[in-house]
Amino acid sequence: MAEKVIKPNLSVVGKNQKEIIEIKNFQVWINENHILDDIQLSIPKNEITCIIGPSGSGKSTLIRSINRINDDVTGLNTQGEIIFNGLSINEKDVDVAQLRTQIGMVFQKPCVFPKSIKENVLFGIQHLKKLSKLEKLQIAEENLKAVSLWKEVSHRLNDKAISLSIGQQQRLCIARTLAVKPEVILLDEPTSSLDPVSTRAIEDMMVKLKENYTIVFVTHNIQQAKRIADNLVFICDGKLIEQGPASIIFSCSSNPQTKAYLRDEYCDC
Amino acid sequence: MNRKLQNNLFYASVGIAVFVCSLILLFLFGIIIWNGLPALSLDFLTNTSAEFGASGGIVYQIFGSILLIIFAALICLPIALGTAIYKSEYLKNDTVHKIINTLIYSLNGIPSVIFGIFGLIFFVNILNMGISWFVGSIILSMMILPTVTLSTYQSINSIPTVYRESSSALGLNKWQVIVQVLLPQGFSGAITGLLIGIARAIGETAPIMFIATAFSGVEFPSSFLEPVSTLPTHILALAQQATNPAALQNAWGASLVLVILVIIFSISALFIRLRHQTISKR
Amino acid sequence: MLGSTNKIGKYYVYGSTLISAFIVFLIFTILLINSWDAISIIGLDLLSFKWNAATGEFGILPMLFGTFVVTFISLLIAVPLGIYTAIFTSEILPSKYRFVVKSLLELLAGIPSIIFGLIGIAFFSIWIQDIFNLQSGRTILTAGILLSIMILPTIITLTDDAFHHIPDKYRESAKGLGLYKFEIIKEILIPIAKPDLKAAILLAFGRALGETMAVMLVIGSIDKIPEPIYNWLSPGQTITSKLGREIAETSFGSVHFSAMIFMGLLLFILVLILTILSQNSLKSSNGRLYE
Repeated sequence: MAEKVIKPNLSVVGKNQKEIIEIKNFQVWINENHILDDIQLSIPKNEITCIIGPSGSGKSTLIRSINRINDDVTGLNTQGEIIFNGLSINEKDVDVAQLRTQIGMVFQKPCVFPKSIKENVLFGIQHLKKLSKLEKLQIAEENLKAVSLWKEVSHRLNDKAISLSIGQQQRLCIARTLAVKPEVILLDEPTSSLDPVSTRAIEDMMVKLKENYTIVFVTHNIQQAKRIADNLVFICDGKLIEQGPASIIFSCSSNPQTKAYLRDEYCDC
Repeated sequence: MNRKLQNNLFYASVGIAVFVCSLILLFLFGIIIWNGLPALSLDFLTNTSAEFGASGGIVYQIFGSILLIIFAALICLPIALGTAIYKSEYLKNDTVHKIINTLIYSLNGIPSVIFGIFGLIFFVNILNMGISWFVGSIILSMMILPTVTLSTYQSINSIPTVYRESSSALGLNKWQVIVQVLLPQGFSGAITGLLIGIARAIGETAPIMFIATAFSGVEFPSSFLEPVSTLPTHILALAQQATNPAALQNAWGASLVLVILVIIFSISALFIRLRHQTISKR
Repeated sequence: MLGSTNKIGKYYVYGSTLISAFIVFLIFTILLINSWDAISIIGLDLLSFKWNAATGEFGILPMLFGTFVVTFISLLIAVPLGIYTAIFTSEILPSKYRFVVKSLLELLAGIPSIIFGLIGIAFFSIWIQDIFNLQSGRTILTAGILLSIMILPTIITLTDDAFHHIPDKYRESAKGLGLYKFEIIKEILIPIAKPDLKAAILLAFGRALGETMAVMLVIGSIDKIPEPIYNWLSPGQTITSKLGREIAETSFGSVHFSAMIFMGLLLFILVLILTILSQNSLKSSNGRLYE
């Protein structure tokens, strides 16, 4: 079975970079449906890896498997390995909460907690360590600046987070994730419910953030992937079709399916 | 790993709570079945009681309970239907809607013994109807009115507006739309509500024990104004002579019969609700 | 012809609604009128500690005390037990079993209170009697424990609903930040569900105040506040058990009768307040009827 999958051309990418995540022979079923079929994938450190593909192709399932947020989905079964920093994350004795502090996640729709803006930023981190009042303020400022929200909200940190616009809420969610200081940030179509201005703001932010974080970004927007991706992963119908440096795939992909998808945003696999 | 320990402690407390609740559930049903089954027999179901219930059967009690709830349902249904239609189709004012809702919720919350003393004062003494099963039916119909009203309201209110508009466009007036289009659909809600209400009413003791029932010397009533005996009041009388093992035995038997009746009504309600849901999904 | 059925229909629905709305007022008025004698003749002496119909003393404090202590015990047991169990059914148990759990709870809630009374007499009071070596196991504590079991399904099922209505995105976002389940429940779910939980507890409170048959059979029916006051292993009396035991033997129109109805009026008002508070506490009053 595995031979039929078109092997990614890793020889160019993999050699001189350190991979932070390795996905090996990964398969997912939900009840009887085979969602992901034999995924082989490596994610390099401090780069933006974009996962593209048509809706329903399994890209969300893939990214949600990387920090095991899918665990509670009923009828879900996995096979294969995901290795993060040399650790196989699907082992039984892995502390998933601990894992998720290292691999953070931002979701499609912003979800602020019914608390103040400041409390939202601090929500994750304050469970990890005791913070003084001053530290709290520093962390809030630092992370809100990182998502360029500080100017807009610095005078009303104690307002309810729900009073922010949707675009601001999504940036707050990113700040909340940054505050935990994960190594990897998974973003599952984070801009799909946002306006163009907020979308651009988040894209620019991603490019800045890759200095300190490894970013995995799911999108169905090819133009967006073009703007930010260092590496591109194309998934269709649960199979990994192609992966490699974004510049190469965009300019001269040899795979007919990838070509068709990049041209027409449509693929019949 | 302090947080992890806390998490495990939390799981442990949840586990204990679930264990205790399961134990209670098992104990209750176990006890009712274990003690009730030996008392159950065809004779028990078809004979009249003797020696103050210590021997004989419970046929009058079953009859009395069913008579009470049938008339309670008959009295309740038209009023509940009317109120539900008014709430859904006529009432436009939000404040009035809130007031009516509050009144319905309040009626639903009134303790059963209050219904009992209300019936005792108003029907038995002021209207001078005496202790009679019909008064019991009236009181029980008041108790189940909120359940039936709201259940009917929900099913009528969930009918899409386009039904109303397209039938009005055919020239039907408001009442015709209600009778021909809305009521047939709303009826399943009313029946579901009635069955749920009946399942509750048939087990009630406090509202009827002063006003509708007598313990000994009752037979099939020949008029509206005679007392009957019912399963719950029979169990009460037997429970009060708990020192007599034969009486206690019959109390368990009557309890099992009562629980089975309650379950039959609850399951029918569930069945109708599920069937209606699948139909409206199609 | 068509117009007239339309009109009759309108009168019918207006009439039905008036009847439905009128019942609560009618009950209140009847209770008020009939407790008027007690209020005007006995007056403030109603708030005393001694109830003796033969000497014309009608102090309702023992019954009030019993009512609140029994309710307090039942909530003390049922609220934590119920909330923890609901956390299990809504947050840990896979959702395909939810239907089974809900049905079982509905069955439990459907057991008539007289049967709880029978179980209380046949088992609970005997256990209490043996464990604490008492002359009689019919005590305030017995009634409280029995009552806690009776309100348990209400608390579990309403709390379960409250948690179930919270969208999954909150759980996932919190998980994505590396929180443990207990932290998610404590800091996200419980604060969000708080109004619904409050409603559930208020409703259970109202239910417990008004419960009659089971309490009446196991509480011992002595119109006294126990000595010392925290000795809940002694018999007592609640408003409902007093009404259930005595009202049928009281002659209509007497001061004694009026004093009994006055207690009924108090209970009616208390439960009414709790019902209205709990319905107000439900954010989404979408016609759900909590029973």
